[in-house]
Amino acid sequence: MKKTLLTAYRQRALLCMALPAIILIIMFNYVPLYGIIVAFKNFDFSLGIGGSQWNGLENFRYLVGMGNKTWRILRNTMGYWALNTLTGMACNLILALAINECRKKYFTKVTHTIMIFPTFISFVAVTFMVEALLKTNGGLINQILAMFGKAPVSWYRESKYWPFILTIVNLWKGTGYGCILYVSALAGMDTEIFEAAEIDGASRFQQIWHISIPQLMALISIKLIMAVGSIMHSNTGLYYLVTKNQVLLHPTVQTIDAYVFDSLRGTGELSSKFGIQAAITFFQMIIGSTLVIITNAIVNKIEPANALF
Amino acid sequence: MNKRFGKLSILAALSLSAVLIATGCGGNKENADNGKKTAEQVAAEFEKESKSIRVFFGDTKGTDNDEVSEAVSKLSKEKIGVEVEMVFFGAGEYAQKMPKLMATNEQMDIGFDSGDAFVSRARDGAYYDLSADLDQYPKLRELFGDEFLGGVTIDGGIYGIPTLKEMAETWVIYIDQETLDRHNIKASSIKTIADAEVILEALKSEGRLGFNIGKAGEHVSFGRNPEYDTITGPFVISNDDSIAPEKKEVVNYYETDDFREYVELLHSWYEKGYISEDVLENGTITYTNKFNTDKSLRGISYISYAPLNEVLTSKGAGKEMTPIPLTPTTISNVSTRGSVYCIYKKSNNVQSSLRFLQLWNTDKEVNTLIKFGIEGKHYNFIEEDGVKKVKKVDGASSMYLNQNWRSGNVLISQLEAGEPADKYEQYKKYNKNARTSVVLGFTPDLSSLDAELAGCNAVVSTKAAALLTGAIDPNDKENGVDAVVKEMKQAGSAKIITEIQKQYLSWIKNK
Amino acid sequence: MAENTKRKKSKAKVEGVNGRLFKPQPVLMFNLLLFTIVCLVPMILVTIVSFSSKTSIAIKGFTFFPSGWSLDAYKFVFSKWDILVKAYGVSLYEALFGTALSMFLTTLFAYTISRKEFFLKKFLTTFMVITMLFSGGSVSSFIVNSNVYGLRNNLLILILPGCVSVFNAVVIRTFIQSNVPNELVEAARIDGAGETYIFFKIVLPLLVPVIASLGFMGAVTHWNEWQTAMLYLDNQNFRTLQLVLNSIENDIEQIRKLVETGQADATMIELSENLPTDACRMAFLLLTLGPVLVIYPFFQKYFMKGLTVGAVKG
Repeated sequence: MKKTLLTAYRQRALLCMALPAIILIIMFNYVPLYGIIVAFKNFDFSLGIGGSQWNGLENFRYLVGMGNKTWRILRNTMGYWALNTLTGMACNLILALAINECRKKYFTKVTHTIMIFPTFISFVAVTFMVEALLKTNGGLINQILAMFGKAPVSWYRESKYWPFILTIVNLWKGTGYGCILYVSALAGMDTEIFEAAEIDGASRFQQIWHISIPQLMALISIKLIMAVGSIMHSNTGLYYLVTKNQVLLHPTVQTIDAYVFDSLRGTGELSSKFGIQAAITFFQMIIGSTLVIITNAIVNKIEPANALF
Repeated sequence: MNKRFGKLSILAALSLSAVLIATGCGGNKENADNGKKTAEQVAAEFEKESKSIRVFFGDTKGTDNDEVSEAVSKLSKEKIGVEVEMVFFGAGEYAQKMPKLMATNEQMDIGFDSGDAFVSRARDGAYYDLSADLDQYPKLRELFGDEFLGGVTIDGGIYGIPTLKEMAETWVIYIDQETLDRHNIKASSIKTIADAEVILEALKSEGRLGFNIGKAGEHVSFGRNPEYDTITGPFVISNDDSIAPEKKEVVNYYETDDFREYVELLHSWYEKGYISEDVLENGTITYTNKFNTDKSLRGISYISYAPLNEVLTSKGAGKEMTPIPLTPTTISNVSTRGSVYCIYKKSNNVQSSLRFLQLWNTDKEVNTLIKFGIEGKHYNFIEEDGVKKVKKVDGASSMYLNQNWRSGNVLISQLEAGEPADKYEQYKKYNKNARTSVVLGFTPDLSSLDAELAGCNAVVSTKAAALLTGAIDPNDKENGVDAVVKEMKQAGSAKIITEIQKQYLSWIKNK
Repeated sequence: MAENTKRKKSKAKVEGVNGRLFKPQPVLMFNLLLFTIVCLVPMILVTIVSFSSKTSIAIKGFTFFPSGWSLDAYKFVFSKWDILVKAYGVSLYEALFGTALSMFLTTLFAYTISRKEFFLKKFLTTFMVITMLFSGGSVSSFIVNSNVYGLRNNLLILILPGCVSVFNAVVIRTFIQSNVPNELVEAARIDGAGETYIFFKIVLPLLVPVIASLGFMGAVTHWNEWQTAMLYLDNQNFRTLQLVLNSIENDIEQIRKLVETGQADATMIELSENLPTDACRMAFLLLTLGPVLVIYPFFQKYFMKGLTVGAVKG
């Protein structure tokens, strides 16, 4: 104990540097944690979180109430997560490498700036754009199909196309922005090692494969572990707004968050059912946390330096 | 490892207790005695209060709202000694913000709520039960018959003051008289929604849109169905008054043949081209739709009616519009709790709030101020047919807006230019002649079935809503009526029906 | 000198190899250009729609070739210039101050947990991981922030929660571990430099690329965020740009619904006739993009900085 205090005193400068962050994390991450108990309570406004009655797993019955849709919704949620994480990561990497490889810096500067635009377009606007492309009558895609003598497709009624459409929209919206971190990591790399490789006659592709990618691995695995935590989450904008919440598309597009969002607005009844809301969040959190721990353990086995904890 | 978690748990415990101390002090103020309060008790309580209340409105905030709020406060201070702050959030914002705000210790005294959300929050302890206090506010109490308070009475408690307006609900289709005349259609010959097909045929022959339907999900309203009285959500009971009340059975509307018939009718209209092709995606009138810009192309709308609404509707359409009623005029829970002002349970100004509610609902000056804003700035008084009426200035709605149906007692509000002098006589007549729903005042307690109810409502807002656009074949395997029924059953509709039936029978016995 | 020639030679050689084998540069540029166009075209569409007439949008929808042009959207938008100016102010405040404070505190924190000898290192790692695994949900956050910290109607709410991002801290920590040689820090320490000196004068300059990129991403998140401002700030003067956009959106939707379902009264119907339509939405969208266009190149300079430093070294 005395030893710890002594070290603490000796490292007081470091301690002071970490302190503001620690305080903020306690204030905004730890203190609200007590709200988890709402998931197991029958929330009453006049009694508050502490005073409300416990009601066991009652709130979780709502999740069970989805009936045989449960499996479908879970599959969609996790399926899109996997799809988006993999394609997103791959595209971010490829774009970052491409930007890094390009010698014309003013060119990459201008193009990358433009590629970031879609990040700023709200999903409401994205919905309009997707509709302009996919409208049954007069949509751009159907016009093109007509030029080739093909019959128009009722996109908003055919669920089979939507995993593809949503992946494209997601990539279009996020890639330019998502690659920023990789671009800067690549830019920050030590150039000497590349020069050495060049001298040894390594081609650019070999350099990328054997030097750049391994160096990015730490960043990639952190991003991956972080992403795993949100496996039960999905963007309501993408899965609710862009699909226009069409019932006929639900088999392939409805995710947990979209489902909850729908029931929250339905009659507005769930909007003050904090217990049920908390139960859903709790469920998503537990799955996410478990997977984070597992993924981290796996990364730890392969390359301990890249693990998060 | 253990050590680390040890430290953390101490940390967690510390922060937890800090919060519990900070948040746990909001004690509850149950009435000590179960009986009604005496005038002295009420007066004593009022004396102890801060006499400064905050009232929450769900309307867009214009540029002058604060000014109106100050004027109201001044007037109220003068008349009843209570200062008022009016807080406005836009409608969408209001819905998202209020539940969270109610859970904090922020000062909130009166707020707007409506429908099933009102019931759910009243049960969850958000609102103050007025039943012990209300008798001490006779002017306010007398405004409402027991009927009108039925909708806001839950488990024996009165949880809000409804907005006094047209009390009953009728659903009508609106069509312009010219078209009816052109095609020799008699409005009186149309009794049911199925009869309306002749109009649709006529419209089609003119190249107009037939049946106006909002986006999927917005056409859901049980009031539109002439055969039933709504209890809660999709659960209804027959409105055939020839059946003895205790013989009536609670059903899920979406599992009835009437629902099937209705969507089959809609689907046949869709097939015949009376409903726009992309109704499922866009509704029939949207901003990206020619029917929005060219109103002459619009067809018939199936909407809720209030006396003299045809005047407004005709003004909006620019031609004479005729309402054709298709449902009986009924006073129901739904129609009486469409717009309610509640006092929050956490309020420390209950008596001040009640005083203000009484003033607002009985004093014409305050009522006009809250409804229309400041004289000379937002409206002017004019003389029309010897009656003093309000004429709004141009662009008044961007300066101050408070919608009529949720800004206090409609029956004492100033007439607007163009409205007939006997408007409120007609309102009263309309309310008087309406039939009363069998289940008015009956609000089943389904708190043990929250999950089932939410599951059923989810089916309504998705599959049933899509069917109600007419675009989907009711016999479709995946999305048709059978699928709706199946999903409803899976969500537990049978359990809810049994529970409501049980409570209904015991309620009717004690009535 | 000799070394220099060698470098030049090797460079030439590599370029030769590349050129002979797969001419990557033009292909690369072509592909980048292609993706750029895919991202740019919708923006052009947005611009065109914002100048389209109401009737054109109603009849033709979103199109590159509207049947009529109009400045109405911009007239409407600029008629609300006072709201816009305030909203710009609040959004800029949130994005700039929020990001600056966040990056500063996060970097300080990340530096301490990158020090192997720091006695709290292990504890802090667990401390961070727990925040990633568990969250109390939005309701309890709202209650705590309002009741305990008194952040309702306080501009600090836009900045403080989420100020220290665990993800950013981990990324910066990793960056320090791999890009700031430990010997450098040790040497400075032996020279008698204090911890603050080491951090500000030695470590921080090396972190510019990662701080710039995370900072830019943080600023973007702040810029696009509106929920916090909506929930916590009632004052009309404290609305962020995205919130203004969003509430217009919300009101349009609400009014449309009321009009369509027949619940609207005269004022509503009047309002719905003069509503800002899609063109206004798009005009607003373009306005929110403006500052990003100005700020982004400034940040981007730093993403590329690492490379130029390397090139000078080479």
